[in-house]
Amino acid sequence: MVRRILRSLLILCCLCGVAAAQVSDVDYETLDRGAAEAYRAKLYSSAEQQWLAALEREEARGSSEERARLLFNLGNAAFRQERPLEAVAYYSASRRLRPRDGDVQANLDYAALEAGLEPPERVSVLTSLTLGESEKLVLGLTFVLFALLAAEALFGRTFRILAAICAVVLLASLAPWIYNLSQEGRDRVMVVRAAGAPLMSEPRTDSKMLLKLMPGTEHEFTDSLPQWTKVETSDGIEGWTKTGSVFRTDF
Amino acid sequence: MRVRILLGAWLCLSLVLVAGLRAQQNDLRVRATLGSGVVKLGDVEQIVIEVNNARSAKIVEVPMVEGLTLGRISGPSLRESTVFSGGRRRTSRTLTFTVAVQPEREGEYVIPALRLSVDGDDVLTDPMTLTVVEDIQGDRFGFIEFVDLPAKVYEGEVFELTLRFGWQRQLSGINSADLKLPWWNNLSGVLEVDSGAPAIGRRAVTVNLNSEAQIEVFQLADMERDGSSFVTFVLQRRFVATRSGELEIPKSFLEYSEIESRGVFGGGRRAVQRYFVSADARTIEVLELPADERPLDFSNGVGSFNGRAQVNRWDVDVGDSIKLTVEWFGRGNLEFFDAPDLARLDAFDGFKSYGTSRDDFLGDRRVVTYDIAPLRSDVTSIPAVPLSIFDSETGRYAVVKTDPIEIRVRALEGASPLEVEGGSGRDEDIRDIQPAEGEVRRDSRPGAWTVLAAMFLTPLLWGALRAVARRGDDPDSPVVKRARRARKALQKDLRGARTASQQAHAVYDFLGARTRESGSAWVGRDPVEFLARGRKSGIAEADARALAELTEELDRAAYAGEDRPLDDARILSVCDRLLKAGV
Repeated sequence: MVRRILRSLLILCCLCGVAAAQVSDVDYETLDRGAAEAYRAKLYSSAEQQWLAALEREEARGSSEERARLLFNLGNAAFRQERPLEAVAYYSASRRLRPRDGDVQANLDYAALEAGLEPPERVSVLTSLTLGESEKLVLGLTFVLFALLAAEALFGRTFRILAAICAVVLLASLAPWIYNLSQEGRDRVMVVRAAGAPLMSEPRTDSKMLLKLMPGTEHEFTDSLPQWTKVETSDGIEGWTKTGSVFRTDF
Repeated sequence: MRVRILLGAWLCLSLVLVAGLRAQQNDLRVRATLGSGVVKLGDVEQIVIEVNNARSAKIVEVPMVEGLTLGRISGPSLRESTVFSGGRRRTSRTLTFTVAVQPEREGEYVIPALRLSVDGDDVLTDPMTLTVVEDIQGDRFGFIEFVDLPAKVYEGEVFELTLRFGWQRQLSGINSADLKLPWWNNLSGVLEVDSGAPAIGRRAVTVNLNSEAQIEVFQLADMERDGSSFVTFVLQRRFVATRSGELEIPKSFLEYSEIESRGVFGGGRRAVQRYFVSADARTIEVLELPADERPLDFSNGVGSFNGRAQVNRWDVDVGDSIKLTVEWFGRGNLEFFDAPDLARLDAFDGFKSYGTSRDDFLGDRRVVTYDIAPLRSDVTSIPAVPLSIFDSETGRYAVVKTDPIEIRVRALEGASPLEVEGGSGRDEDIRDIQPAEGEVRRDSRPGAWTVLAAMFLTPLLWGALRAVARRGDDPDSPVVKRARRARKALQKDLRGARTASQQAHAVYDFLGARTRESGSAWVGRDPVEFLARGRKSGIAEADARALAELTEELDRAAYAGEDRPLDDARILSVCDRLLKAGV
């Protein structure tokens, strides 16, 4: 009897190992397709897990477009599981990578409304381009400016006015590029607890509460411990909050 | 001159503002008080000096006052406390000195400012007044007492300080009263608030305060005490405790006297009879609100409250505006708590909240009016509005609620649900997931350094190119411009030419422009010889001959024939050959 039980346990462990190995062996397209199928079958939790796994793959790491698409889908999965705040976090992260996507904006608005948050800020001139797009724009305008300046050098005054206009446009295009550079590398978290999250002075429940972080607000991630996350608010106040209360929004 | 004066004034104003702001930000306070404003001859009084929010302080100079001996300085003692206020934690630090004062004779004295050095800066205290009397005998004929002073209050709780005083009715000559209250405007850790609803039907009387100001008190009906009838007055003030710890209210004195006026030529007023009576010093313990059980939606309300709600409409359509007025009343800091935000309450998810149109404190109640609209026709009542407070009577956090209000909401026929503000219309659901779009496109970024290098090199290369280009002819000079535009000018002239002589003129102008001469220089010139020996030695002989033939034909047609024009295309073709050859 004991041998039979042990044998069954051994077989079960092998099967699990094989399954795990299979997941890790699954290629990226299959993972993505499997997630979509799970979503269609209303297996939202499974779909979320698979998309999260896809997010860690090299294909997604090397493509911000792909990450934006996965984050959008993850937002839908979270929303269907009645976690609108987490959906807002996913959509916000997706919008950061694909600022002009109408679907992302629409779902973000809807999820924010369901979560009882203020309507999200609209994309502005500074945030309408990604870092890569703004760099390409600046570089392109620089080349055009160089061509016009070269023409001015060879052919005289006629091209000078055009070069001046191009220089002004180039200066204006620097704003989104500089803004995007300043935002690069920052890790942010969003508060996803409906009642808000207390910000404590130390990572323990009996420490002093500094203030309450409102749901849907984003803060800068600075450090973490097993159950605690350290954040800095926009006012520069640093403190600790329970890890389950916040959600990464930088991918 | 005027500009200099204006600039100087602006500079001074700026410095004053910056100093004021800096002082405000530093929140440094130095306060000196007497233990009481009146002392009996033979007793020792104390000056208490408190320095808030400073790292170090010392008394530099103690003034000399004739009739008083000031000395025996003790301190400083240090007290630190932490306050939780408005979501922020603030720590305050207080250094306390005491200076003993020994009166030598009866009289009224003004103690000048004491000089302190606080964090390296010189600071002066305010002057103080001390009355020294031979004997205090007024407690037989008068009284002064605190009424219903609480022994303890909580941080944020509003409490009343009621001082009742008076003298025997039979002292009919008493015509002056002076309250000596050392704690007046000097209580630390409290904030004075509005005294609530006005006292209707009470008679207001003005009395002196600390021998330098006047305040209004109210006269009550006479009181019976120890078998005698007393004229009675009351002074009431409301405070909110902002800091935990002990709130000390020093001894209070009442001086009541009969003052005789001597008339214009006699000069001045003289006290015929003076009496003093005192109320003992009191202490109120200010307790900190318990932090462990503080709910996340705590409104900062402290006291004992109740609420009631009413609406202006009960029978509405979907989307119609309803004004929900909530009154909070009771005892506590009604004017300071955060009114509930209905948009954040789950119970109100059947309503759209448009904020508050009114939020007033009326002395004994707080009135908040909300604008809401029902979103669906299945809404049958306006839910209770909860307020999370700290009940100072029970010492625990509690939630007080209004009663729900029944309403009827009718659906609009054919109408869509309430739209989101500011949008073109609300989607009924989220948009579908996005499938993969074929091959994954990898990110390609030029990189910040590439961009910076391009921007840096552009002006450098331009400068170099410009310098090289201008070693030869300046492309902006009229001669060079004319040469560049020669072909176009030729084409334009030929289009307008009606005769061979006009065509010849156009050709000579073209040649002159290209060779940086005037067109007339080419009249009668042998092109073959010129182009062969001239600057343009790279021109092929065939091209030179073609030009020579053309000019001959033009001259012949113009001067020996009927001046018929030649074919424009042929003229242009020859000129183009010359351009290609480098003329």
